[in-house]
Amino acid sequence: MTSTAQHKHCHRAVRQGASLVELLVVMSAATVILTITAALLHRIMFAQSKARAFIDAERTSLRLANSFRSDVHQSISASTAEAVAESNAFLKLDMSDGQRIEYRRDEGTILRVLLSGDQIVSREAFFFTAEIEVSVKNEGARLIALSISSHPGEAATTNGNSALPAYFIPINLHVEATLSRNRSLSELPLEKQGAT
Amino acid sequence: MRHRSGSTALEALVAFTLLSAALTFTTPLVVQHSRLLKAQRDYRLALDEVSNQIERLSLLPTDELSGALSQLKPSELIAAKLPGAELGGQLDDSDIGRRLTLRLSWQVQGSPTTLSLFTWLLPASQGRAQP
Repeated sequence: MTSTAQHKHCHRAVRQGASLVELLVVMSAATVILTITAALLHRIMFAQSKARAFIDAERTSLRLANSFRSDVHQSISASTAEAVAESNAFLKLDMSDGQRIEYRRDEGTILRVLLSGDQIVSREAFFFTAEIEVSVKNEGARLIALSISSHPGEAATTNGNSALPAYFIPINLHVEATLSRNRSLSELPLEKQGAT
Repeated sequence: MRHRSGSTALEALVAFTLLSAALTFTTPLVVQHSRLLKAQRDYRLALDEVSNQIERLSLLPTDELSGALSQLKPSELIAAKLPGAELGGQLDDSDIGRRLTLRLSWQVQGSPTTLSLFTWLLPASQGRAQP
């Protein structure tokens, strides 16, 4: 082996680092993967936030539906139209023990207030978005229907179109309940009550 | 032994391939997550719908129940929200009156899902329906 060949072999053996082509390939691959990862991370964080808002809205809807049904079943009479004129209450329910339950609206919040005379005994809040529409109707002599739906405020975009807010969660709640439904249960014999 | 620092292009490409595979498996999970949320909402709507129908039926006189059961249909909201929604009812004898069963079926990703609720309807002398 000549001295020149020995020099080339020695030079190749101690070569460190990467060629320009290798570097470009790796950097391109890294750029693509990092871009995809960032987009996916953003998507996951968005999904997490939206899921949290969604579950909150669903849980609140379910809680309100259960409270509304239970209250109407226990009440002996209900008033809607005149109650609206007096306060923020859109529904007043009179209980057999003399207490009264009012459902009030304060922007995006529904308040359930239990009153004994003029004294507030308890208060419970159901938080929705501010864009909700609430309506209560008497559908027959004893049937009361509560409806809550949401109409989002539209945000104008740069191209003149409008789009829904990113975190908008639509609310669709329609609950019907019968007045005094629980009273007839007490008319059953005790052994029959246990069967229910 | 020569001193080696850094990683080769091959090692980097293998790492990126593994990362790509992980991303590929993760993306469908995000889609599935959205479907789960929608299924959750559909179930809550169905629960409200069946409860509402039971409330309405419990107000009817006993002799009108059979006719009302044959004409049962989902509300407009449910017909719009739940694909293929069908509502059916059944009246059976019970030891404390009659037992009314309502079933709501709808399609979830091509497969049918059914929700059933029932209530007891007392004879007229003992009042109306019981929860």
